[in-house]
Amino acid sequence: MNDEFPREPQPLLPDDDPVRLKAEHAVLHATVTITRKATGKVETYSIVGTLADDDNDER
Amino acid sequence: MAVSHPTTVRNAMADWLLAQLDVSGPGKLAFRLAGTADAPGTVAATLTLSATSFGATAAGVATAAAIASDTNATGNASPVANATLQTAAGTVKVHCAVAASASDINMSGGLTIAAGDTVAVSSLTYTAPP
Repeated sequence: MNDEFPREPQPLLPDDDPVRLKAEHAVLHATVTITRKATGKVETYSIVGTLADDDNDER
Repeated sequence: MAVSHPTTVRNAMADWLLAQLDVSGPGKLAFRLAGTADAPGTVAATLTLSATSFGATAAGVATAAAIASDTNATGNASPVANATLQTAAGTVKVHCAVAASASDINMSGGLTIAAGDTVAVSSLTYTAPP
């Protein structure tokens, strides 16, 4: 008889575990420049986009 | 155990996905208010990708070809929360939550695009899941 079974179920990684996040997500990087119509001011942003779940989790 | 893929698989996944942006004419990059992949939020700005939107993926990273600016953004008083990559017909293929760091303004209110603003993207990369 194999005394290794049945094994205890292993816990899943928590939702915020960085290993889990790294495993699940693609990433979008963009450099965005916005020229304001009202003032003419130019603003530059570096945007990182992580693929969002359907529960709309903003990062 | 973390899920990961060989680089060749990552490249193939990204190439397959991004090629779908080009099927019905130049795809779009849209900045949106909060929404989901199946129910995207209101568009604040729409930029047009090149006919072949991304080059071949290498080491899991695909780089976009030139992107045409939105020189008269629709805008919205609410901040941008999401970005989408979509076909010319508007079918979303990639939906992501965005976080931005500004070079010269206070970002406490989030990234807001006003009506008539010009929105340009000088670089865009897609990194496949590991």
